[in-house]
Amino acid sequence: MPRIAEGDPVAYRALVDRHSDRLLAFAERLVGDRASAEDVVQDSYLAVWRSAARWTPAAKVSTWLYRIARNAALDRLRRRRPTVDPETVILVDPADRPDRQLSSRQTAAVVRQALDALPERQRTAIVLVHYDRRSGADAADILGVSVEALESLLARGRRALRAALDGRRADLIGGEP
Amino acid sequence: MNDVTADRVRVLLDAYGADPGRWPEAERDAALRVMATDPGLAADVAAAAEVDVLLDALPDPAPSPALRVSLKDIPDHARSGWLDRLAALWPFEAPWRPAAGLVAAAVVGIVVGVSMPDVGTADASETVAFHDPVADAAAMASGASALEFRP
Repeated sequence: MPRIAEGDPVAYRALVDRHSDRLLAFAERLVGDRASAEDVVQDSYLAVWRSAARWTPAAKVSTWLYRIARNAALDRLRRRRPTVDPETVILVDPADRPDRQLSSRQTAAVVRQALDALPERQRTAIVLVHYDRRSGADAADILGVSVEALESLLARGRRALRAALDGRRADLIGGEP
Repeated sequence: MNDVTADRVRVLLDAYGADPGRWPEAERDAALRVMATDPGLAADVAAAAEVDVLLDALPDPAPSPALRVSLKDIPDHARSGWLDRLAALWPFEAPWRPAAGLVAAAVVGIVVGVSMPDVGTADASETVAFHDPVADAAAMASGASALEFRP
């Protein structure tokens, strides 16, 4: 980071190589669509390049980067008008299929909807710990909460997901409801 | 850490799911030992694993090589500070041109303003026409014109 703060493009590009794919996945799971996620990552790296001088060694670089990306994602989510994707609405109707077993694409759409319906902090906590496999301490740092508070967010989010998908369990994972 | 209880394992399962790889490293071994000796935790493990399976149904977003190239170009294109902000306001050409135009207009305005003779303010006795929605509505109700209202 000190090299990036001095304007070293080689150091900056190493940071892109190291984190950009995971940051894109993180952003896509937060904002729900690819184009917005790419904008979030672009804005985040631009912010890193311009404000690297403000980074302090007390914060891990990846934590700082994820915080910036989360804020950029939140800005986009706040600006976004609520929309209903007609394709998704059709996809989540299992009655359309005689065997009531959803395809993997349909299952993903159902889970995506349930995840999107969670409060933002619960969703971010789940994305960081489950998908990004960040430690509880790291995820708590990114969210700016204690580890205990993070565990509470995770538990509430997972319980809400389970409740939201309860009636569809058989369709989604093939077991008995 | 040896003070992991069955209740703490339930908290770990609720929060982090059934994959011990996601649990806090400091508690992992002790929690696994508790799980192995407490059959009462089986239902909690199954419930946590089910949520994990649901979450795993969402595929990993694919990387974007084009985005990576674009990110790496940022140092070549991004300036810093006020020049960037100015450029963002005026994306058509070099930002110094509209900036110079604004400065020139401001200078002309100041020169004209200083060299103009004093102009008196409006006579207080002059009629001032204005619109008051309530008065307009009242006037319209009585059939009078609401365009000019003298208080």
